[in-house]
Amino acid sequence: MKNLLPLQNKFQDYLLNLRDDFKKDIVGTERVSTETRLGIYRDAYRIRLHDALAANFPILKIYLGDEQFEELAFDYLAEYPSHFRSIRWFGDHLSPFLSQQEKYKAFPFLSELAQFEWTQTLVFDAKNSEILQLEELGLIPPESWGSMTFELHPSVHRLTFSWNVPPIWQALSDETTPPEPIQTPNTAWILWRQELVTHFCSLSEEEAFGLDALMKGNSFEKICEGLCQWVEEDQAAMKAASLLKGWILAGLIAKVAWVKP
Amino acid sequence: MKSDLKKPHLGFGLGLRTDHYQTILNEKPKVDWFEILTENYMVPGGQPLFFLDKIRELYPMVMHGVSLSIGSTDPLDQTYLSELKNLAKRIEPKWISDHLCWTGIHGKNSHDLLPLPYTEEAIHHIASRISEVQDYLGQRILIENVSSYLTYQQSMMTEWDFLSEIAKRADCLILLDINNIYVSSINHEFNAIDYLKGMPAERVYQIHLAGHSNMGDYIIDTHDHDVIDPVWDLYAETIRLMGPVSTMIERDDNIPELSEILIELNHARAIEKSIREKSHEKFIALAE
Ligand SMILES: [Fe+2]
Repeated sequence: MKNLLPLQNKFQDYLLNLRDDFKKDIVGTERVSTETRLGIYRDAYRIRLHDALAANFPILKIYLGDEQFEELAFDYLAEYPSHFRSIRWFGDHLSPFLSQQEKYKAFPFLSELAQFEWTQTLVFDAKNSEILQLEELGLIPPESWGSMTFELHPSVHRLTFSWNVPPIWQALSDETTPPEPIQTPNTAWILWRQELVTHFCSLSEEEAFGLDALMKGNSFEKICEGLCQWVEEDQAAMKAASLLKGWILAGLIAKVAWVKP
Repeated sequence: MKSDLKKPHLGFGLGLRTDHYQTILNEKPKVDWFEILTENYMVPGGQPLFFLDKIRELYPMVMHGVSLSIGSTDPLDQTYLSELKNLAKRIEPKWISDHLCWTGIHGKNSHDLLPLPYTEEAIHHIASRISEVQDYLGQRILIENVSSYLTYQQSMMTEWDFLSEIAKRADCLILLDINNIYVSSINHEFNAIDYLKGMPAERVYQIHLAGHSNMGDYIIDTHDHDVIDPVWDLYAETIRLMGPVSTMIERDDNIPELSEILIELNHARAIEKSIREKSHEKFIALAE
């Protein structure tokens, strides 16, 4: 590709980095100059990627306002041009980008807000799966309960926030005035999809422990043991069972496995 | 791959857009088929695939991609091709199309349909890549002409000669975007009719119609307006030259109610019908 490769190199370098030694490869006309012609591509590129980011982070955009968001989008694009087949995945690094950039470091909740929104996109089109029904547990002999391990629905995501990000998100999404960002003790959140609807909620410390243990593949027995940090030993099994029932009813659990007695 | 150019006529279709999912399921509008944007359904699950399957139960579909990047000097993306094949297995489209363009190199994607230089080198490169894709998919694909805003010093021929030659060498089919021809004819000051006459009619399996934004000295292909009269005229001329072709309207921005686009689609139907009737009359007159 004697001529094609260098041409594409120059074009892409122009789009991404505004290198302009590409001009001489273009034919200008009296009506439309080479600068205008190249500018159409440059603008279209930046607008398209900006819009893709805006689609994935609609609330962050409202929070920042159009101008600030545009600046952020172009900063991000300069650092992380898309290498995705589908533009849907553009923005995967926005949350870490916000926490690393000097310019945005003073607003640490922005990174968490971006993480919250990005995770919602992942929940939205996560893999489908069957969900475990409560009745299915009835088929497991009580002797085997301790050995039960679980697989979560593919849409389940566990996040930890140190800012009041979900309430800010919710208020803006309802078009009401958001609360001031305040730092909170680390709070566990889960996001998941039931049928086609995305849900999120915060978890108590012991529930977060239980769900994390379950996600790591720990058995029901192990979860009970761990819960003894919060409840009396003779209450642990009951606590674990009630958490499990809640998760099953919420559609968080896809499958159960157990060891035959 | 052996040519069999007896082309199917799917009738009049629309680009499937998320805004219309619910209306389509509720009202089952009179649309003969839908064109889906392939990449929108290359996701693990959830709403996109849910609605895709539901609507597929009701309508035939074709697949239209933007990331094949057939003109890129990067190797063909095998993961993309396998995802493409999987999606095709899922919805059994009448055919699969993408664009005569490149979208990026070195693994980057501009997500734009960038123009190619019209050279022998590019023809050779692209035709062999189309053949590779067709062999992998086990079917011929359609390649669409894009709107463009610049011409390279390297280019040695017209766009229509470039496209026809690639189609011939790769034995592929063509998706002719009438609006793109119009847009490019203004931007590059050529005669759109010459373009139509330069097309191998037997390979043109599908037509796109769309609106655009007129910037005065040039036109940008934005798909956010109704189809304009000169484009309708060009469409009529296409049908006169090539006979009926499966036709659809693309709308990507400023998307109106489905009922409004259906009116536009009926206009396309009416144009085709009147041309068919006229040539029928001519034939009868000749026969008598
Ligand atoms: Fe098109």
